[in-house]
Amino acid sequence: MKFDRRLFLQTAGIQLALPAFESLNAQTDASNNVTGSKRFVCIASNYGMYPQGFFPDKTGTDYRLPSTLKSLEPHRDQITIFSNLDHPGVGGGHGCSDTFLNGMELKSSKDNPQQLHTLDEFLGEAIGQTNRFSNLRLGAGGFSWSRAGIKMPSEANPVNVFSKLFSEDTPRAKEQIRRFIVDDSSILDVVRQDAKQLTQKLSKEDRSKLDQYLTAIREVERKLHRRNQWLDQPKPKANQNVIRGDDQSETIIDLTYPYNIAVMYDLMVLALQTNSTNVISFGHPGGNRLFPFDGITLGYHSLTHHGQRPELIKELEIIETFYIEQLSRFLQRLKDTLDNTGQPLLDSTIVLFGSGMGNASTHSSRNLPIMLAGGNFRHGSHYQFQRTGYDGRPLSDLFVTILQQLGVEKEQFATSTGDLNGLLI
Amino acid sequence: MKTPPFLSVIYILLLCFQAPAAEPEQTKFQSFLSSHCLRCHGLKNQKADRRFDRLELSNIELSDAGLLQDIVDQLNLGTMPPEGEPQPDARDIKEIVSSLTGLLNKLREEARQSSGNVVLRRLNRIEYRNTIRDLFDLEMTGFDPTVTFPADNVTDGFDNVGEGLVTSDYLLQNYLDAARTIADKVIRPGPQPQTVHYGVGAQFASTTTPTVSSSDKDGRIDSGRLFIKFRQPLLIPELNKSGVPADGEYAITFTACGVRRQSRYKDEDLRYDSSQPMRLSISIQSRELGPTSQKIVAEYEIPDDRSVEIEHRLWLQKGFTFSVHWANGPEGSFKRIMRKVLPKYNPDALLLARNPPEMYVGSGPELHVKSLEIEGPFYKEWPPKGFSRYFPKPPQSPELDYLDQSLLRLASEAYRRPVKQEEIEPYMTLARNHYDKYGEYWEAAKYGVQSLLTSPHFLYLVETENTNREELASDFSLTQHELATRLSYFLWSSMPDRALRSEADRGTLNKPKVIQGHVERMLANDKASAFVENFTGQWLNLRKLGTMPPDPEKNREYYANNLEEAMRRETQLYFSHILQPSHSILEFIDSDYTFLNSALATHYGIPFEGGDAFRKVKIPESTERGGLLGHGSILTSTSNGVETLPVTRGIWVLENLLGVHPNPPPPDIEPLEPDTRGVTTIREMMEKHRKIATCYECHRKIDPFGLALENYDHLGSWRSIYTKGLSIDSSVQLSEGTILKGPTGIKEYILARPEQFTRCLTEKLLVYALGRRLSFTDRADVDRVVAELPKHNYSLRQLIHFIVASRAFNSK
Amino acid sequence: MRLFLTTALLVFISASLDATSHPNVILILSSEVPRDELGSYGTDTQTPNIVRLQKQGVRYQIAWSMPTFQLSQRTLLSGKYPTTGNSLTKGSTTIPIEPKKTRPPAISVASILRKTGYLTIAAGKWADDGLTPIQESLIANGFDQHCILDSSLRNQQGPQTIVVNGKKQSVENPGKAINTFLIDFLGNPSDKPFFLYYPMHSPNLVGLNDKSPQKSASPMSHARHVDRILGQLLDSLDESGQTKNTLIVFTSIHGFGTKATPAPANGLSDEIPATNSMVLVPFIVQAPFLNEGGHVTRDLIDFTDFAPTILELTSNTNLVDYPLDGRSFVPSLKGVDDPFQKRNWIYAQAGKVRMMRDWQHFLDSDNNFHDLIKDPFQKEPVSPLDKQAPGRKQRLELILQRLESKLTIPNSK
Repeated sequence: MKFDRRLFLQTAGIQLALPAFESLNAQTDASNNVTGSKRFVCIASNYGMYPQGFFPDKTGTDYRLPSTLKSLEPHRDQITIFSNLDHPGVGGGHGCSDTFLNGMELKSSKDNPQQLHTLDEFLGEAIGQTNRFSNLRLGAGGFSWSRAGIKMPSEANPVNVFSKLFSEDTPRAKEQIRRFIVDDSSILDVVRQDAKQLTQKLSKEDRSKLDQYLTAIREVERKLHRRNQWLDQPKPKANQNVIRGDDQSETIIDLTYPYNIAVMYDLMVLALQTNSTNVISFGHPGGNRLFPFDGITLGYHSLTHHGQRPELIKELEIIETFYIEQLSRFLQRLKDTLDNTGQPLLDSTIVLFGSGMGNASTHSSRNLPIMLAGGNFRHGSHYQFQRTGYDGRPLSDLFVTILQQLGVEKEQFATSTGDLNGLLI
Repeated sequence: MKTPPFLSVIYILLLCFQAPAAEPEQTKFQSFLSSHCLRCHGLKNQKADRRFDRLELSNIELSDAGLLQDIVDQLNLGTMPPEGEPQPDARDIKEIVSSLTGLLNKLREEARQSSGNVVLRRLNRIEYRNTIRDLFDLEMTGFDPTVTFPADNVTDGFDNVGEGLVTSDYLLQNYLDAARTIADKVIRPGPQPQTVHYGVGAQFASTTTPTVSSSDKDGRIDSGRLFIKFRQPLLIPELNKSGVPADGEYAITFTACGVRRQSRYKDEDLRYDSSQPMRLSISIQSRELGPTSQKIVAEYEIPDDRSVEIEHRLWLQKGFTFSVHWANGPEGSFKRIMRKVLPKYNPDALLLARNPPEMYVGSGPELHVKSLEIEGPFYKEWPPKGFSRYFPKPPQSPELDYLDQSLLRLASEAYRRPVKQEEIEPYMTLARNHYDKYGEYWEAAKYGVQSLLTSPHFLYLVETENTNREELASDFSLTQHELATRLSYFLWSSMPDRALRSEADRGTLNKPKVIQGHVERMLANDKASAFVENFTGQWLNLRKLGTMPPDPEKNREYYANNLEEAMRRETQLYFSHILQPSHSILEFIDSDYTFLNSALATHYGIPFEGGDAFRKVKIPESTERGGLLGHGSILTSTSNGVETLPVTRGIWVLENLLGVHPNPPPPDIEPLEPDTRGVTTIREMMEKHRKIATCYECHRKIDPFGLALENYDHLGSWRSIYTKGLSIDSSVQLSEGTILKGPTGIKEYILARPEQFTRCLTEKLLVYALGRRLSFTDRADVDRVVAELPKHNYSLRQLIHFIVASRAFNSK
Repeated sequence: MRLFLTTALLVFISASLDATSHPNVILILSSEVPRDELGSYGTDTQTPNIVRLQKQGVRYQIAWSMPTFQLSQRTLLSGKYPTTGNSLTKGSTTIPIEPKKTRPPAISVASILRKTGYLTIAAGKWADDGLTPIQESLIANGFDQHCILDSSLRNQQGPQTIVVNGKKQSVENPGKAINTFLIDFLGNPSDKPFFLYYPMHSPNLVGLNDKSPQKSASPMSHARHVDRILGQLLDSLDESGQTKNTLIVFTSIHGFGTKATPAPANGLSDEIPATNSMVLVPFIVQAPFLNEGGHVTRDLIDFTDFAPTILELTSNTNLVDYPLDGRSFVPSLKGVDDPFQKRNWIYAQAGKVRMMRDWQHFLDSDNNFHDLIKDPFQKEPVSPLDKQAPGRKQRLELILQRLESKLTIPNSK
């Protein structure tokens, strides 16, 4: 399509030097169990996918890739597509986009916000502890919820992402940061004591509330410690070309959405390659922006309300095809890029594409568009699960399999009732 | 069957009526249930998740109270048993209702004795920001310590409800950082910093000769044209190294002019939108803190071919510098233009060669800045109030006792109550240690401030269990300071001011006359805008406005005239107006006026003289406005930007005006997919939907209210037919048979049930005022208000007073 | 492909000229007026009148002459580069080095102005070819009047011969005589607009005091003389009230015999070092009817631009059969921003030595490439680290090729 050329980015444009702190990476490499996988990337589309353009008509291995997914042809041996996965009990409406990774609606978790904890945040704790960033939340986000149950913000600006990953703080700044870390920790000691005394004076309901605060103190202390550890580790160096473009190549780097998706994906490759993080979640925003593509006449959200009108559906598919083309390019990059054990990144990186919303035209939360790639799984098929009444197979079953593939000993996650190991491992 | 008006009267009487012994009741009750309720709410079916077959009046648990309350309400409203079911005899209902009500009151009393309802709640984001503002008299424009705070979860429609306000490590880290920034701003010892004045442009030019050609940078600067090359920033060299010399307010002045907004170049070539006026953005950043510190603080429209001088005042922290950007200039790299675009237009330029910029400059769109200056810092007073309040007459040489006393002064403000020295001893020690460690006195002071602002006593609105009972009415009545705090967070979303505080110190706040006086005073204060914004924002879902933006192509005027903001403004002004004494809450339902500016008036098709400023406008008879239901804000936020959502609108009316909460759709129902190909109206489609029994159950209640509003399109403008030419039928039949004709019909319907609307609004206000979900023990308060308010012509002002006087508001 | 040289045919005429559609034109071609690379011409204190002109006019920072006087004169009067048929027309014969197949022979801008009712005067040192009698060639080039130093009859010392409208005169101080002639002419304005061409580059012309200056006179003292002459011309223009309606172009070439530019044999030579500084000359234009003066610009100018400019100002724009190489700098004088109306390279040539530059970079036919901003004296090659340079060089090369494919170069390899 027309925008391909403008968006194509050369791998050659990016050189980078890995920092010399294997000590900190040692564990990650050790935990690199050849059978399993060590990294997790999740791509979420805010308005789901137009079902007829996403789900293949046939199941098994010799299905035909539907229109929207065409660009994935070169990767079909590395992807698995699922029909009829969804989150039991989650209702429709725009809220369901946020339930992608936790299968839990805010309104049904009032008394126990911890239920909102999402897969990416959980994995950050589980497999992200030896990296500079336990996990990265990029793009529009909105579907990452912390252990405590708050919606975590995300970084949508490639320039900020780049500087977060690769720009070194000045020595002066570092010195200041270290001092802050030390000082903050001593403050935490004091407020903890204070909070404990306060607890005595509180009714039992309130105590539980204040426990959140005490837990938070412990967590912050842990993170401050970690930050301190990393402070002196030089950040890996990466060529600015990835966000600036360079003189030789004909590449045009465009940092405005949606073109910056290509840049974001390149930054994600860099982040994984440099072991800056093991867990990334990346969201395509919703909203009603007018995509700058040929043939687009309506805003994105307007198009999801196509009301079956073919001309509008065509426009919607232009956008979704574009998303998938970017994903396909990302998978290619993961194949071409080797990690520091010499393996293609894709082999050790689980890529999950999907959404908490199924068919946007009904704001349905059923039959979510789910696709899995890489991560050393058995790929190549399209699986279709049975629907029993309202629910299909719990998406969280897939999460459990992902967790186990990443070496996390967990039999249950969110609303899972089992796992999909049989199909994938 | 509708509730006969007298019933609600009897109902009030019943409140003072002691419940008779339960025994004989039991049998009656059981038989009533089994004959009228259990078939749908019993062992087999539990419609709406209600199950009554296990209720035993003899041993009612507190947990059952909710169910009983439901039964009473449904019977009172006459909505249950549903039409088509055998209806019970009115006398039976009366009996059941009365006995249950009595029982409920008894339960309520017991519940009160056993424990309070209050939930320890932290400040939400808005409250935190406002509290900091008032605690230190900080200028908040251009300074928001909470930008990185996560959004607060919303519970029962409000984001200040304790149950929902989670504290996470992420938030706590933000508290630490915010507190540090704030302390940095607040602690300002020493003399007022010297003002500096730097700039670039003609009067600061490197050479004195002006030039004709501006093709080279010097030339441009000399000729006073610091043309901004697309997204590349323009900054002041003197500041690049170390930024501004001190915290303070700075005046950034620049003269700018848009040149050739439309040029020979096509927009798609430049990746630029020439239809938009040029915009210049001011962003600040600190060299020391690196690129992550950069953020845009302001944006200005720059007219074409006409120089404007703009002064922007902002707070800059020491070491920060600023730069101006052409916010909406051509995208991408200048290199690309020189290599790929220019050759398309200029035969002398070679494709893909490095054509010199001189060949482009002067031909395309340019944003010229003729001068760029910064002057400051300026201070309204020195030392700043927020500093001298806690650090009066700073000592010349470090005095640790002075530090202690200062922290104590701060604590008793920040904790919103008197604080004993020993209570904050640990914090004093922190500061002292810091001084011993680094030997920087004022840094130690900042550190002390930071630590106090991280204390749970500041971050949480603490209401401890009462110890000194004698001076308090009951175990659960608030202390003076807790009351003051509740009041100010209710009306100001911020801490108590001096007057309120000293009232509490004197211990006279809970005197009715006194506290009423304060309510009046506080509502008259500007800070009350927080109440208007936050309450309307949530009661009426105004915050949802803008989350489903209309289509940029099809609704240009919506964006061009910034209708979204205008709509929000209308509703806020409307609310503030009704908040004035002697205005009735029924004006929310219908009125002959509203508040408009020219853009919105045009949108509504109401004649209007004037510009962007809002005025109170009398609504012409002919126009279908008046009351909240005519507000674009509400009609837009209940649409999805593309089409209207009758169901959403129906639910909105039920929940926010009638206080009825329809059950969420049973999860096993797929919403039917809209089909706008054919010639079916949304109404016809919904009819189809309603044929399914499970849907019919609720939708017969919901849909009518939405469909009656169909004449308002997705942006709230009036339409008599659909775009496809299909006619709109806005007359509907309610579940109990009443016929409503359009919006007017809804208004009449609600105005015929003032007590129902009063109850709804009262409950909303109470939740917001208490910062917690209502429990059934609050019912008495609500009932009392509903009963009393008519006697005060439904005055909203009076309603506020009732809330403040309510038992719930005054107890834990 | 579009023949871009002909775009020089003034596309951007503005009608606003009508008020002064027939301005007087004075072209002063001096020599050896020193200028440094920063663009300040001479030393303010020593050349007050040059400064005075700058204050009232536009000073061009980047203007190129031709390497020799002869070529410069041709180019100025014809608006064409050397060897594109710009050798000035002479009665019958044509210069042998000029192949027939080239574009129609150039005609002098003077003769065009003359046709449109201008009084045309040449004064000073006429660059003759040594073959034609001066008078003949002057008339052939469209000059009604002249007051010329006859270099063919030049003595080393003593009185010199000047030709005033055909009549030979022997004078002690030709410079003074010619100047008196001019001041007298300017002092008594006629009803016709005039075009005065005044090449005063010969040392013999600039001695105003009775004893003629030493050969060894320093460039600065030379400049002082030039300045004084200029001053007198400006004064008499003011006195006769013609200033506001007169376009004055003051430029220069690097006179022979100075260290900067060793004298070439017969004007065309490969010994001439092809450098920017050899052809970078002062160029000041005073045009009160176009701008308020006091401007400095980096717009590019070379000597082919004079003719088209004059022709535009005098509305002689329908010269379809007479394509010019140069480009009018009227837009530049008017302060127009649009670079599309201006040059983006300039060119100079003497024989095989050909050079081209833009605002920053320099390229010559021997493929020497320099960054004149970082390296004004072309001492070292461009740094290999310079990312822009290659692209810029490529561009100049392409333009050079384009250009020369249009020009027919004599005795080229």
